[in-house]
Amino acid sequence: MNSKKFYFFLISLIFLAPAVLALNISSDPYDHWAWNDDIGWIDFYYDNIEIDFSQLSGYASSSVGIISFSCDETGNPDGENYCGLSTYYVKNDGEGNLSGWAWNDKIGWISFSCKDETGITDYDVCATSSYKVWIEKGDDNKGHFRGWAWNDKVGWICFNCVDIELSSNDSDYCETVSDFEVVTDWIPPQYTTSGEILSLIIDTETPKATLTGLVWKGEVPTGCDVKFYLGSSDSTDPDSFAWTGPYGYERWESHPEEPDKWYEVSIPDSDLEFHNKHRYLRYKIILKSDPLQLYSPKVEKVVLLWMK
Amino acid sequence: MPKKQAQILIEVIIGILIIGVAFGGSFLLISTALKGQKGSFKRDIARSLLQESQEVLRVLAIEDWFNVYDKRETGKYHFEKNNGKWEIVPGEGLVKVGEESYVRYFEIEDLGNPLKVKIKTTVKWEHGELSSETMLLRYQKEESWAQDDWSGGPVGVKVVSWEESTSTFATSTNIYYSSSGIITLRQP
Repeated sequence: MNSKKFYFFLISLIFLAPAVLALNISSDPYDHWAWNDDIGWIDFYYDNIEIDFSQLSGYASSSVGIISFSCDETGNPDGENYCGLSTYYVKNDGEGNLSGWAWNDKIGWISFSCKDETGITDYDVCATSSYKVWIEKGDDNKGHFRGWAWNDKVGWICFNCVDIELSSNDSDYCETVSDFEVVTDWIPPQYTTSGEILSLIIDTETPKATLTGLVWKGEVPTGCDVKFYLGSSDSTDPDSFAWTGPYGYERWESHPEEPDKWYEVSIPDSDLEFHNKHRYLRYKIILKSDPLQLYSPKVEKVVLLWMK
Repeated sequence: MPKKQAQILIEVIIGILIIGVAFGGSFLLISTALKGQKGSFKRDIARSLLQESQEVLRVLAIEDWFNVYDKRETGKYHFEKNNGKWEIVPGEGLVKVGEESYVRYFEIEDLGNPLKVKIKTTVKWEHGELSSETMLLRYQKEESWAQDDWSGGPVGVKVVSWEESTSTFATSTNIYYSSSGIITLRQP
């Protein structure tokens, strides 16, 4: 596929295309194309294409007609719901790994993962070819389709020129032949929604210790959160610990060198009584990502404070 | 002549009356002033006793906070010196200053905060009473224990001395801890 052909194809599609409404597929000229050696370019900047945490929906355009990614009306240009005949769709596992089936009237089913064929064929397809399509986060903070889908009539469908480079000896394919790919605004989550860590038991070596609070160093990106629970006990039995919290934090303005990275957690007066005369101390930190799971809080240092 | 003698007698009587009233008034004034001075002196002594009480409590709290804290809401206390050291003893105490006797005691109010209490000290004497309230704070030095590395991974229930450092922790869920000096959420 040379660049001149590509431009011709691009221009012809612009004039032939119906009302384009690609909900979160990039409109950049090179960023919404998949390739198949038989049918040529497949345009993902087409009608109602949207990728979300659960599935790919809408339909793409190609030389063999539209390719539907979902049996319901969003995947079909005539607005018909075909799910009564076959409940096909291209699934997103929430982490950007695609699987399942798309449909085209001329070439039939298109599989997005070798695992789709488990139970259909009488042999282990993945053992022969572990093909799959996935979306990964790029440095541009966008989701980039990667990998290969399979159709029994026309063969492999490639979503990113990088995969042609990787599967051939042509490491300059993207630069010298065609820099195509499918790019979306949907980004797979980079972090789990939440996590927690529980400290060892710290022995203050005095039976009269009173836990008073904690200071910590780290970063909390917008939308993320960090919570603390503080525990104390007069014995090392984990079940005997009195826990208070969750506590938020405030900037620890008085830190001499890095006031923008230090935070303090103060135990309110009403909770101090729970930590009085307790020799053993612990902390528990809860980290929460932003709603899109693209960022995580970082904790670099925790300092427990108590009165001896 | 008898008329002149009678006039002199009246003048003498009036003179004696004036002198008597003057002396009587002065005596009353001096007497009241002396009484006031004595009352003020007792009040000054009482104020000193209050101040002494607060200072002794502060010293005892620094020596061991729980000397004071554990006695909150348990009635009246006073000080007694034993082998040159002050001790807190239940009940009211009698303090003799010169010929005068004073009753001194204090009560410790719980503020629901193990780092401070309110002290109400009272000194009583004949025909007088003085009291004051002060906040007593825990003066013990604040200690700390820090952790800035979790790369040693989870080790379950384990006790570590506050004088030791560790790169381990008990347990975690969905936490990435392998890089030294930082923890973040794990990638899916």
